[in-house]
Amino acid sequence: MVFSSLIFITIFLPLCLGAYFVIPALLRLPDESTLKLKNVILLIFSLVFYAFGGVYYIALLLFVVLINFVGGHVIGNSGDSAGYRKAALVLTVSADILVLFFFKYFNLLIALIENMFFSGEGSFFTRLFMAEGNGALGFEKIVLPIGISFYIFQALSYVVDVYLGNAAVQKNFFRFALYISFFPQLIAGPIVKYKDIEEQIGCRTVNTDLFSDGVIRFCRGLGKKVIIANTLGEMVDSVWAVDVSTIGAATAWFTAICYSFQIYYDFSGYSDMAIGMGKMFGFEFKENFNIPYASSSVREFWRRWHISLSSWFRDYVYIPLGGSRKSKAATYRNIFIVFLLTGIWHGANQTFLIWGLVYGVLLILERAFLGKLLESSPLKYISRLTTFTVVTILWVIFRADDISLAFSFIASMFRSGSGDYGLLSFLSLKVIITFIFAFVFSGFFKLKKGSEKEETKAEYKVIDYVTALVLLVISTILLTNGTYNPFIYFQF
Amino acid sequence: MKIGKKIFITSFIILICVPQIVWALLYLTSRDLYESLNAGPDEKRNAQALVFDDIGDVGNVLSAYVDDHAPFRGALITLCQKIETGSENIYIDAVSALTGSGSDSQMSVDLDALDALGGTGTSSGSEDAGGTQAQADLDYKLVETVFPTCTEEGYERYVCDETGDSYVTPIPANGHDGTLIEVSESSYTTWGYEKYECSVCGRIYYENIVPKLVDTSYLAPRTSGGSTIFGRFDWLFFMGNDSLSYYKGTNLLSEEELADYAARVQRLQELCDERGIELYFMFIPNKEQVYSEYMPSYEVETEHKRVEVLTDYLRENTDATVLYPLAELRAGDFYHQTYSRYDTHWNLWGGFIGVQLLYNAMGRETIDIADAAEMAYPFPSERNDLILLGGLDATTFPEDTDYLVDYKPEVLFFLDSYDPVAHFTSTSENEEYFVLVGDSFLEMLRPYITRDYMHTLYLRRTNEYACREDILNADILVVETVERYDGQVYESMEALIDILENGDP
Repeated sequence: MVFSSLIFITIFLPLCLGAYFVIPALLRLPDESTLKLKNVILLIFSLVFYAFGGVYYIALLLFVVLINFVGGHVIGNSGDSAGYRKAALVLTVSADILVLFFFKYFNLLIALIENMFFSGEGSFFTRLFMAEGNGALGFEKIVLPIGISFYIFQALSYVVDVYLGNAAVQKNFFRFALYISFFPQLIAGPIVKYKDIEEQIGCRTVNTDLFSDGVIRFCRGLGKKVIIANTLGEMVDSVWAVDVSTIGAATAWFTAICYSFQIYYDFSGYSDMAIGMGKMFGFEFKENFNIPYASSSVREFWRRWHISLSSWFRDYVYIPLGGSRKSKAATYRNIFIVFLLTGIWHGANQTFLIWGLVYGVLLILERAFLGKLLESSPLKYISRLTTFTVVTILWVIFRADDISLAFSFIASMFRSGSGDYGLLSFLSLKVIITFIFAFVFSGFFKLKKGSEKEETKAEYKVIDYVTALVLLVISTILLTNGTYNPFIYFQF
Repeated sequence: MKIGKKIFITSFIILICVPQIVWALLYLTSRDLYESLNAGPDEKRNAQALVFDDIGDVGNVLSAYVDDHAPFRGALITLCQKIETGSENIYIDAVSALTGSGSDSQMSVDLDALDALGGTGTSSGSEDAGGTQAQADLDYKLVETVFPTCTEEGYERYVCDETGDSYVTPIPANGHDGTLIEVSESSYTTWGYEKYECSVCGRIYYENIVPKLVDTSYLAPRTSGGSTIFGRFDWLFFMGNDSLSYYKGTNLLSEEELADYAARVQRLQELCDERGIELYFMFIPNKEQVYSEYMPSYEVETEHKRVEVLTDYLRENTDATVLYPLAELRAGDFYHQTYSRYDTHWNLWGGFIGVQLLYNAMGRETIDIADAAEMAYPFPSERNDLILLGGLDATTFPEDTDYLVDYKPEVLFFLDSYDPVAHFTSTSENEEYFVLVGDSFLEMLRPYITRDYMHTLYLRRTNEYACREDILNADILVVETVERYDGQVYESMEALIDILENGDP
């Protein structure tokens, strides 16, 4: 199940909100019991939510919950025995990484072995960068369970924080299970660190302020995803469906920029919905995006884009490796490692690896000398434009199915040629209007960068309410239209 | 502001809860209103039911069920399609204004392509067919005079009483004495011609035929639903099944592939010859090839495309009779359009031309195409798979017309079994068993062929083994395919060869 679906908006969410607020109110239990009941309700709904994506994957989720709950328990209750604590940490972390590796990277590993050792076609480099194997080893493809990258990282953050003493052991299995499986952030983040939510699981309230803010946030996120991201995505997909080496520069650039907006509105839209729903249930999650396209440098970009992931890598990889406290060489090495892992985390394809590595190199260059140049430049829009351009080109690598297609597309972006009518073939009135909105609200033109979280003044709040409801209605209409699926008896 | 918040929260709850409740109540209490609000485009499928094949499927089935039963679904889809089509038209007008118009030229068409079927009925001239020579110094008498008609020459026969020698002097055909009854100017959508009716024989014929003009201005290719291409003058085309590669000529078969295909065709031909089965291949052009002048501006790599190359190769390298009526269907447009405007298929007029060309190849009697065109009665066409596939609003498209030739109305036929294996019996006296293996394009051949044979069988590909006995007992076997499924014919032939090789002696 996804948030931007009719079954979620019209069935699951109403039932969940109803159960969460109405059942405890009817039972009139004491506060502590009410909270326990509410947590159980959320846990049940979270497991049902996950089951929609594949009922058998519930077993995997519960397995991850179990090993980390037990791991955290052993770590937290090993007293002064540093050896035991470390062993428990290593075992738990290894188990988590093994599970993630198996489901996410096993197919790519098999493909690499098949292409390198069982295929005579193409050069070494061609075979190295092919994402699909030839089936020589006869393995069935492993299906990636939805959300695994997110909840494994959440589990890892728990055991490491317990080990470091940054968080207390969660003795209640159901509360821990709720932390790992809570449906608003289960499949697409934000990656919530246990220490940030520990208190809220055991103690939280919802008032009309928080609930209404949550609804506004949810509706905005839904609108971002359904109205902007899906519309631009349709256009982007239609361009990528053709031979990208034949498209003109105008088409290539416009498509690349559309994809930059698509991925931003899609991902930040999802995060908005997650944060919004969290608020409806009394949780305050940290922000995950902060107008990233207003960044004046790549370094700033990664402070504003997918903040929960970059802060996770900062806290659990960069800082333990020494961060920037040691030599310059060590700092550069640490940056490189973090972005290598960031790339790999995003997917099992050489494109993600290269995407991450290029960012690592750029960040090193910015740290070395480029950063000061960009951030102190008085021509702020030039820096923003440069950063946006670099980010957009790198999104092309991220989007491509394989690296050769990515290079083909990038080559099209820089191919000279006049009178490129090709773009007109892919545009429509709908795409043009959506693009304008996407550009205006991307934050690129913001004079003061501020924050996505800015609160509207009370006297203008009614605009927020009306906008939210209009976005909800339009999104629902578009989702309904999206269910149109004619069957033509073509097979003759 | 608190009251504002409460109203807002209440509105949100209402919007996510109430529509479903209202929809369910409408379904239970006011079915007519429910149906009218749910009326939308016909998706030609049943709505998802709550049927679970296995537990792993529950999530997908529930999601699909909710999608198919969403509140006011039909009305909302119709609304969105109207907006989509409207905005599309605004965009196309704007782009056309921006890109301007190109020079006009005439449609490239072989006007003689239908000559084997009577051509375009132009007044047949008084061609001198010659005669026999008289011998000098003999005395001949006129013994017989056959007067010429409008289209056939007459003759005078002279005989010498003494020697018995005779000679014939042809009398040229009179030609039609036509009265001009209609004049049409050539345009993007109409042919130019002068239409005459002969006052002597009543025949309709045409002169000064000018093919349609071609709009060569740039039209940006626009698509919808991943399948439908917007062409010129409200024509729609198909891009599925790799049709664009066929159109652009970018998917030519290699020499090896052509040879392989020919080997299979030849083997099938030999097996049919051994069994005394008349075998014919019919490759029906994709609509994009026949009405290429209405396609938007794609870059076409070669005009000698895959199936044309294939059928030429098969004719040169096998004994098979292979038809690819591209030129004929383009020429046939002179009388009536040969394909549906909003559908991927040819229409009943195109199907009729196909049948006549098949009969011509079989050596059967055919109907003059000009006469047939006069016998074709127009009716509103309901074929619109491209509108459905494109998620478009059918009400915004002008009506399309189909043309059914009033062919042998005295012959009745009866359907004995339904598609995908349709058997017909008719009151025709021809007892030859006609079997056709093909795809949905056979539907436009059926109204005509069925009247010419007592027993006809039309089977969709992949049903060959189910019709083993019929294939073995066929007198005539036609392998039909639309151009974009030429690969499927290759597979189908494997089954036919297997059946014929291992059938009863």
